[in-house]
Amino acid sequence: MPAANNTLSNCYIPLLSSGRSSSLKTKTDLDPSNPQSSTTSTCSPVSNTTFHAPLCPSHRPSGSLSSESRTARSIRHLCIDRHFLSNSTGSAIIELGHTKVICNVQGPRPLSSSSSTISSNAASDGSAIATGMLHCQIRFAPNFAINMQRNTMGQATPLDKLLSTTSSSSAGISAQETELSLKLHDALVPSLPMHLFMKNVVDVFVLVLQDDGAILPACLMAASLALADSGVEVYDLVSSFSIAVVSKDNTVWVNDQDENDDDESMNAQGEMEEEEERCGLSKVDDKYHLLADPDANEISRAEGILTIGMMSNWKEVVFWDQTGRLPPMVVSEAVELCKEGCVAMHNFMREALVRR
Amino acid sequence: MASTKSGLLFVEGSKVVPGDKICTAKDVLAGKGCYIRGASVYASAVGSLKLSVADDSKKEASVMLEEGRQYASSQVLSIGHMVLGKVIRLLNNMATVEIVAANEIGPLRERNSGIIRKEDVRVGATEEVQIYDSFRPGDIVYAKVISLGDSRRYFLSTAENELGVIKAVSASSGEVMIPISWKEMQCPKTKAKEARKCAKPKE
Repeated sequence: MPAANNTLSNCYIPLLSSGRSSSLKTKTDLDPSNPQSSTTSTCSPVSNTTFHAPLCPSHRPSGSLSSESRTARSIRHLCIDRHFLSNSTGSAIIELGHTKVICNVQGPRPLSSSSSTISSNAASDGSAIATGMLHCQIRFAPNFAINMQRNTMGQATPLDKLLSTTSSSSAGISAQETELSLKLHDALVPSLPMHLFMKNVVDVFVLVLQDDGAILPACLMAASLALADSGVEVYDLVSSFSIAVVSKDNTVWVNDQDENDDDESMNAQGEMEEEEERCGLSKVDDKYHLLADPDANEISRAEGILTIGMMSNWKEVVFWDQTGRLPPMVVSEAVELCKEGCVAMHNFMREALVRR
Repeated sequence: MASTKSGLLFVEGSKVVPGDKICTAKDVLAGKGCYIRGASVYASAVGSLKLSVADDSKKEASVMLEEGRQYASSQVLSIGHMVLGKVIRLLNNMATVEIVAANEIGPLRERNSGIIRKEDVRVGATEEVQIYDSFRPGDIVYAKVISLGDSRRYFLSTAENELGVIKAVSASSGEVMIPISWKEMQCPKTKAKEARKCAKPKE
């Protein structure tokens, strides 16, 4: 593996919320008077930039939040670094809370030398010459993912059981990885001026070290940063954000009690309703909470998840991915929130590029 | 930080990232690392902004990359590039060349692949051309890109006086041969002649 001169912060499987160590302050406060309690010490100060990211709050659910939970509009602890792989043209690493993603860009390379592009993204011979090509590949690091079961379940089990134990994640490419790669490709293509590298292909390799929700936004931003870092001309940085829509009956994140216990007492319901009135949330949020930058727990409880990729300077949405069942009003509101989130992420990406 | 005199949104020399709007396209041209969209000039690379004066006294905005970085698109070959390559394989009607360097680019980061077809070896007389008498595997040739070709390789041509084999090794002795005419090379040791399409040596 090529040398990497960077240290990751927080590489461990997270404990349940009650047991989180106080040094890991992943929540970020919307209250500007609270000075950022930073974990900058875990990131090497020279090459790393740590951001603490309040979103522009349109609503701010104040009130009784437990010290471990985040507000609905806050982004997790964000760490961005770039150009740390000595062997590649461009590289970037993004840590969004516990989600850690590395991206490595090679190229533009002539088409003939990389055989992997012949099978994927099949284009006829004629069109391949006229423009360049982009090849994206997302892989999950086999032994690092937080939730190993999720990883191995997506693969086809061979008839011979013996094979599956030895070559489980390393040999097979799970359906999730293929799908994510295609989505990444669709999202990045609008930002690349293909006419500048004809007959060449730009290879984007993404390695997911830890998956704690918001995989696609992290991959997308890492890829965009790595492309900009590598000297490939891009029209704009693609920033991405995801929102989970959780129905109110299901949320107990407001309380101090055990998060896993879903059928809480009516107390919980009453408290939450009070709170909503206090904050003056809109009608749409009567039944749903919109959680920005969800982690894996929130995603598993969500009714639906919306991921938006946007080129902020062009003010164009380049990628829209939605899962689950959501009423249209909720989707519109979630999209607006996502766009704000994308703009905020873009600012951080920009700072990471300029500061280095 | 607006510089109202020239209408730039960024001070010259400051760092820009892709997507930053630099200024309106009215007075300023888009140089390397910039592009025009709508009515404005945007940056497309990470680096420091540079303003220079183009030929017709119009200002040109370009982005100077950071230390040790190259524009990735500079590694892309296009029609008209003069390239240096090594002959890999001979077929009846073409020679396969591995392109190693190009005139304006220098050594390429990745090896490109090109072919010299029989009709592009020299001017005229396609039927009489024998590939085996024009190139041999291992020769270093100086050729020109004439077409983007098909999906796998560029099309090259040596159909000019100064294009062709510039270095070849004798089959008999292993010494580097000297060109004696446009179609022959001679080994200095054994005096054996071999047929090649030679490039005219520079004066």
